[in-house]
Amino acid sequence: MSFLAVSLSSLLANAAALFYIPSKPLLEDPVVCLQTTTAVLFIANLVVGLVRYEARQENSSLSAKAATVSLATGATIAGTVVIHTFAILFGAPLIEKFRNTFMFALYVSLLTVFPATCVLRADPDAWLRVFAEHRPTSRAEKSIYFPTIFTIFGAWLGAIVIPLDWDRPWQAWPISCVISAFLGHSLGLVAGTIASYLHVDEDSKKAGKMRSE
Amino acid sequence: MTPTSSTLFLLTWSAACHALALYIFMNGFLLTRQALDIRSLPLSNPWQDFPISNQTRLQVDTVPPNASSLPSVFNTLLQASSFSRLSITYPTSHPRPFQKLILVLIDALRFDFLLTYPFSAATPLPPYQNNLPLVHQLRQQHPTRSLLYQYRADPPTTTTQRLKAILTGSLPTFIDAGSSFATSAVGEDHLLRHARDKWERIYFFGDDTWTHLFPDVLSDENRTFPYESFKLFDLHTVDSGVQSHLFPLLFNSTTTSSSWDVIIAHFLGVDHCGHKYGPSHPTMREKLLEMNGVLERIVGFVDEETLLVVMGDHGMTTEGDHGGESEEELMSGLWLYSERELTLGGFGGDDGDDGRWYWRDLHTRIHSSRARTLHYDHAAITSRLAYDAASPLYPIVSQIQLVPTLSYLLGLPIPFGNLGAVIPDVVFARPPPADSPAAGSRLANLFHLIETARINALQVHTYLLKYAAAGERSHGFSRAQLEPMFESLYEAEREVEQLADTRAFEAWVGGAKLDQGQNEEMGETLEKIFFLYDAFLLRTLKHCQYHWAQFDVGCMMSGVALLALSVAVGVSLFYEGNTKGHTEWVLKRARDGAVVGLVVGLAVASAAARTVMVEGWFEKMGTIGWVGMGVTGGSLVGVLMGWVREWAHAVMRKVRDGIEAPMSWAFAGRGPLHITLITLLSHALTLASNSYILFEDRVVRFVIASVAIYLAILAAARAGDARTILRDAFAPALVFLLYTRLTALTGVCREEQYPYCSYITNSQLRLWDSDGWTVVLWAWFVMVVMLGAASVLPWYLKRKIVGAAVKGGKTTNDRFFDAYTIMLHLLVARWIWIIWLNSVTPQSAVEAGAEEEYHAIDSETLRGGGADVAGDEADLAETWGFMMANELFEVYVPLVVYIGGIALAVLGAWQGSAWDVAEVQEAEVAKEDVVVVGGCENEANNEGKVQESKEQGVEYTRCEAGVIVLSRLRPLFWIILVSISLLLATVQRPLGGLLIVTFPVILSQIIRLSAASSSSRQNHQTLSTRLILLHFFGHHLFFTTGHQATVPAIHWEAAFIGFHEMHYYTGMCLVVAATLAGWMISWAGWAIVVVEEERRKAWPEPEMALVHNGGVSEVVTGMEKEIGEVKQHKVQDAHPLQTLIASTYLLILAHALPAFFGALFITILRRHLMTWKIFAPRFLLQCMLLVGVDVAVVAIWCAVGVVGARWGRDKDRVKTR
Repeated sequence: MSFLAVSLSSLLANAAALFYIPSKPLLEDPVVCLQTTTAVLFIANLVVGLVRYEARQENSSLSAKAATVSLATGATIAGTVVIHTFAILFGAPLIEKFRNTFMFALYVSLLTVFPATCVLRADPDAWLRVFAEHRPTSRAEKSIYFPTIFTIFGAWLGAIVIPLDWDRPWQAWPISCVISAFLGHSLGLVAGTIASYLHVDEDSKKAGKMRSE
Repeated sequence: MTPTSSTLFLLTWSAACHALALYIFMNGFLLTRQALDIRSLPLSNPWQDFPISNQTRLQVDTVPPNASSLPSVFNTLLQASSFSRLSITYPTSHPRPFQKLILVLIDALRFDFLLTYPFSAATPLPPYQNNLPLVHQLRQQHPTRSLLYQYRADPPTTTTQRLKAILTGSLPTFIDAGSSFATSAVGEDHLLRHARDKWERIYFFGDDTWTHLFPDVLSDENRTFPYESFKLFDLHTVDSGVQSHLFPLLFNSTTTSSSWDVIIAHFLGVDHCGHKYGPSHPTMREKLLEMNGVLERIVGFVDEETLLVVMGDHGMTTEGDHGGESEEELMSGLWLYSERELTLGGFGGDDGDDGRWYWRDLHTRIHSSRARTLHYDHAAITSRLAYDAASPLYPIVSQIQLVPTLSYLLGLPIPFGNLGAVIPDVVFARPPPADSPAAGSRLANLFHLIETARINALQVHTYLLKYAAAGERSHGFSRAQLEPMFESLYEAEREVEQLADTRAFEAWVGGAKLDQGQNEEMGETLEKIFFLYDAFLLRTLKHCQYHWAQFDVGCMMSGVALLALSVAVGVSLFYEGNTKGHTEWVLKRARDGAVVGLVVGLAVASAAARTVMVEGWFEKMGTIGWVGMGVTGGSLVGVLMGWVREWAHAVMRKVRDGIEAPMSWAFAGRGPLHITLITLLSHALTLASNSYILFEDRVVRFVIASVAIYLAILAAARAGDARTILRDAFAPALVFLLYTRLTALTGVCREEQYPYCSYITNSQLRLWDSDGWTVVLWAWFVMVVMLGAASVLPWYLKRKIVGAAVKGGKTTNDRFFDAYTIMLHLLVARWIWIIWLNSVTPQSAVEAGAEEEYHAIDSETLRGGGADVAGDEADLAETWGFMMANELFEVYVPLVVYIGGIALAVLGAWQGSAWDVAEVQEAEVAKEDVVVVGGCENEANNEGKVQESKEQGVEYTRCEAGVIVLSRLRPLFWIILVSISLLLATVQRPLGGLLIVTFPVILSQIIRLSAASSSSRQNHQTLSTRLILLHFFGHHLFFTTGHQATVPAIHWEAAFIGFHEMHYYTGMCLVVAATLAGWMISWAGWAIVVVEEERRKAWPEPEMALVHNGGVSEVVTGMEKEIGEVKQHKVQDAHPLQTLIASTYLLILAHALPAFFGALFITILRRHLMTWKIFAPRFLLQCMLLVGVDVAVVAIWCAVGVVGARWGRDKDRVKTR
């Protein structure tokens, strides 16, 4: 149940943060909008991160939670730099629109790196297994694997509409990519939730037993 | 047949298929009109060459008959002629031509903008109406001094095409055969040329399209003030600029006598307002009111000798755009005004004057007859634009009718290629006396009208005859096809002859008064004659419209179908092509199919062609087309059918007996292969969208990044630990992508990309004294990189190709690299010279080439500031040192590199296979007992052990072109690449040259990408993906070397590099090489990626070799995996060159696929408004690429064959020894 709750709440939080809370609409000024969005998302992520993993034993202490969250924050910043670099490699402008690119990177990083770090923490083998070999083995891993992959795929796909001459406001960089990352993330949440519900192995059985007890 | 030669046959066959398909497609697609640059001459009299019949004027250039031998009828006509009585310079003109012309062109002035509607409070008018009240007002005041027309354009409704039509009177085509590609200048006779003959002081203000089109006239920079036309979102710069020059000129000319003869003002504000806001925006009202104010002021300067022409070049859609052929875009307005009477008819006043009524009626009849013949749909226009299009108050005239009309009004000869018919309203010899509307003057005016029509007809007739005589490519313009059109002309001439023979006519000429009956009879005859002349002109126009603006959809579709078939064959070759024996099998099928196809083609060509030929379909096919199509289609269908049958059998066997297909058509486990195809397909599909083509430079970069990341992710999945991932999977991809992104800073923008485009161009590179320090920094950076490349490249390449362990003493390869170093240094010196030259040249002087045009900023300041520097430069240019250096770097250095590069390629290729490549030898020795590809014993590789393997003679011969050649091919391909990089770099601008010359370095990065995985078999699966990455990198190089898929972006200057003057074919080759350099070098690199891969596979790491020794199939290409697993003997039979063969198919497919989709989309979008500007140039580029790649692979396989044969001979020699 908690996965559904987490997915639902992060979906709602994400939608609210992107479309409802910011004072400036995304289409009008993406940078200002994303500033609010990322701030809200960061807080939401903190809350979700704290709520989500309290069922797990090793995360129960406050100091462990704080450590995980600060690790996730650091990883998010690093991830922002990496995503920013890749956005530029894929063709984002180098200097002009720097803030747009940066806010996009921060947004995607918050959607992907933060939750992933909350689950996988500083365990390189787990990272490799999930994201390089594409073998998430637990419910928690599946619940972050799908949103992450889908978000990145969505962010990639969103760039395709940019060159078209339709003169729509959402074609401006990085709006289409932000929206498609959001859509990808939402879809990934759904997929992740389904996958973690269908998930059956020793781990989850144990976890299920523990929950029922 | 050896595998090499049969592959060569197959490649030649596929090249022939492509060539024929493109030929047939082009026949249907390219609208060819000969642009005849012939200047029309004034006629000696309006009845010259009278009477025209199908016997006379077969030769247009015959001397006109002597006056003495003229028939009496001719004399009578001359007597009657109003021209002969007036002795003026141009006898063939208006009795009192206008001395001054003001031509105001308001871009995108749709016709309804000119109308004034009765005001009604109930329905508020849209912002674009009633804002040019001046026109209505003047029409009310002086109904005969002002003429208003609906001015109908021929699509495409783009300014360039419209200006051409308005001043030449001809119809638009994409490529005017015969005109120079290098300039956008109009290559035909045009009105301004004749105006220039008559008048000195021609002023021009406004859209710079004019100065590009008519540089021969509008070149005086004191009288020509062009403004950039591409800043679509700037509403006022051009307009206020025009006004700031126009009005001082007009005001000054009142004080002095007159300082101008012709003024042309082209306002862009309305058009830009349309693009930015659309017509229904309040800004449009402001803009139109501003134009009204401008016109009001101009009208004040119009006197009796001045003709004011106000017109639009096209309309605009409800969104404010234009270019297509909707009624909103086609209908612009034309308004003529002068202080004197312009017409005998005219509406507006309400005097019931009989004479006026007659002319009004006649003009209306003429206009409605023209509208009927040319199929103007008044109802459609009315429904779209909400005004009464059929109203006689403002008839529809075609845009090309302005040319003969202006020629008439200004007393100029009609431009040679004109097809328009003069607007009848303005044609009259003398106004009727105010007191009595004499019928006699009516006859005189009618006679004048038919004289004018005859001059017009004579000009068109001459043009048609010349056109028919000029070109073999002029479809539909043979004498036989033209003759029916001439009928009404002949008839008109006969009628004139008869009329002139009558007594009444002679009496009238003699000045006698005719009675009422005779008067009316003669009037009717004259009208009839006029309509006959007019019918001739209209028929001609329709004929030309039909033949020039008509695609042959039948041919186009046939071409598309052939391309589709060859792509289908290409795809199956790609999937199946590396299985042994298929080449011969395909060839046999193709041959059988071709025989059948030949028969069918011949049959269709001889018998059925006429029945298949409907209007516009298959007209341009011709016998060659039919036969070619039969043969090509037959052979392709034959191959495909064979495949379908084999697959069907395989499926049947699988279903029935459960036997696995011997041919591999299992698609599972071929992920990278499918990704390769999907990547190619997605890119090819972008050719359907003008936006993606416009921004293709960015699209390609995105594709490159995606493919590189895909490869990295694939490698990461197998890497195992984080260090490996970073080092082997992401590091090469990152280096490659960084390089791509860095090089993407340079290039050239196409005009449509503004304002979303800023590249560092060659002309911007300045070592000092520039507008921005960043550019100076870049220039120094580029210099440093060039110098660095010059010193590092030879060493690096030598290490890469020959390996580190080089034995002492000068060997062949040492000499090769010495020569390479020298030439590289020469090239770098040349580039630095060019950059230095650029730095000492003032910016304003750099105006050639497309890229600079859009960077010329403030022309005023540049002109002011540039003058002194230009002076300095002139001094500099005269110093002998400068001239020597220029000569050296422009001619001799490139020449040396050309000769040296070719010599290197040839000699290197000949000797290179004998190189002592340390690595190869080591590998050969190390892997003695490893079973290598194709069942050939590795011992066979080693020449020293030939004797021992004598008993394997048969096997040996089969393998001779295989493994051995493969190992020897590697130096061959490297040599070709390195030499070609020198040759191609020579014809580039400095930045592009640097990129080309450093290409081998980045190629080794792509090869390293392949090293990402620990398993060579998995590597092999991604080979096709890596090759496709290389393909797109070639595409990327096309852009970064400063090219775009547009005609203006072609580097014409490349034709002169290394030569004092241009030689036509050499120049053409150089320009093609400069354009396709990026791809050509990627083709050369293609083989290297494959060979390096094969090398790794043939000599795997020791621990891998053990594994491979056990299972032969493991070592073989990943593409053959399935076959290998199922039928091992298949694998053992596979030819070692199969991977090279398969990748060659991929290379062809990579260009054939976009060519097919390009052809398909352009057939669908042939009436798209961007067809000629965006789709067609891109498609032509693709055609060049397809032909180029076909030539390249045939050449590569010839080289492979030669090397194979040579090695075969060497072997024989060894054996006999």
